[in-house]
Amino acid sequence: MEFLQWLANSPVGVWVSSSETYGYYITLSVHAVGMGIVAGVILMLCARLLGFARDLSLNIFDKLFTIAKYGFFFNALSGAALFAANGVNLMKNVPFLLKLTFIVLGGVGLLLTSRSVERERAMLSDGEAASVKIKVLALVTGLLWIAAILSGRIIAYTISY
Amino acid sequence: MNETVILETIRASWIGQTVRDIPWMFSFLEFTHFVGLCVLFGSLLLVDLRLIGVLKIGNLRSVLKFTNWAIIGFAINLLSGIGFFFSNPVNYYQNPLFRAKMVFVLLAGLNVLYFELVERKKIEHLTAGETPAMDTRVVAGLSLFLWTAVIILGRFLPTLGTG
Repeated sequence: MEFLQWLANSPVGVWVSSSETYGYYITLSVHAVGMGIVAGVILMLCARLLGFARDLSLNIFDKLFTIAKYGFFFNALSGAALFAANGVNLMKNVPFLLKLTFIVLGGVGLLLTSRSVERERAMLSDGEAASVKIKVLALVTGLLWIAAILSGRIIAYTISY
Repeated sequence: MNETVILETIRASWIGQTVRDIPWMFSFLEFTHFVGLCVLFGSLLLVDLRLIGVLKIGNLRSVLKFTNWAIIGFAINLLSGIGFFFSNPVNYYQNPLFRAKMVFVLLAGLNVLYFELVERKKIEHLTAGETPAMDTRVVAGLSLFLWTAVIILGRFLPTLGTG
């Protein structure tokens, strides 16, 4: 608790909380663009694996995910800044804890999906349908990231300052 | 009809009433607006980065299929956006950042129109490894710039009113 209070009083915490610098809105903007990159790229991969544009080589997602990793990095940073400003209340906020859980599960889902894709790569690039296992993994992963977005939205309605 | 009458008519419409009267409706629309953002921006990243040449894999005909997801994402956000606006039209209408956001949406729309009418037929035949000419790359870069600006303006709306 003392640590969370210290975070709130740190330069980053103060900058995000202060209304004069627009720190909160700048951080939220970074977080929103990052969300569009990370969740957007993941949802497109899921669509492709579920059968959309099956003729598109999956290799195109390799580089796209390198870019999405930068998006995730910026969202970890902007998320940490938002947390610094209000960690005391966020640690008690159930939607926030759920959001973190969904991000971890969504990450695990993505990892399992990409591993299965690696194994079936040759076949998938030929425009063949992905296995049922990959389709289920892709669907669950996509839903987990949508759940992370939903719980993120609910934070705004349940958090106190 | 002057502005005030038009805005009041919009506010009194069944859409405005529904969004105001059902307690969870506005926040539900915000959720769909965020998912729509991801679908729109994610599909455009794939398409535009391929057009710019950052991504070189994949023939254009397959990549361009993802513009359908951009249309779906935009449709979600147009509908949810209409819900926001109708619930409190005066507040949005008076917000300079909302007006700026709509100008950027319009510019992005014109950019799409130019792409569809002029650029698409030039590039559809390109196969894996081939990057479009400079004019197409500029249009693709402009698309990512304009939509990023739309997202940022959207997040800044509450600083000058509702949003």
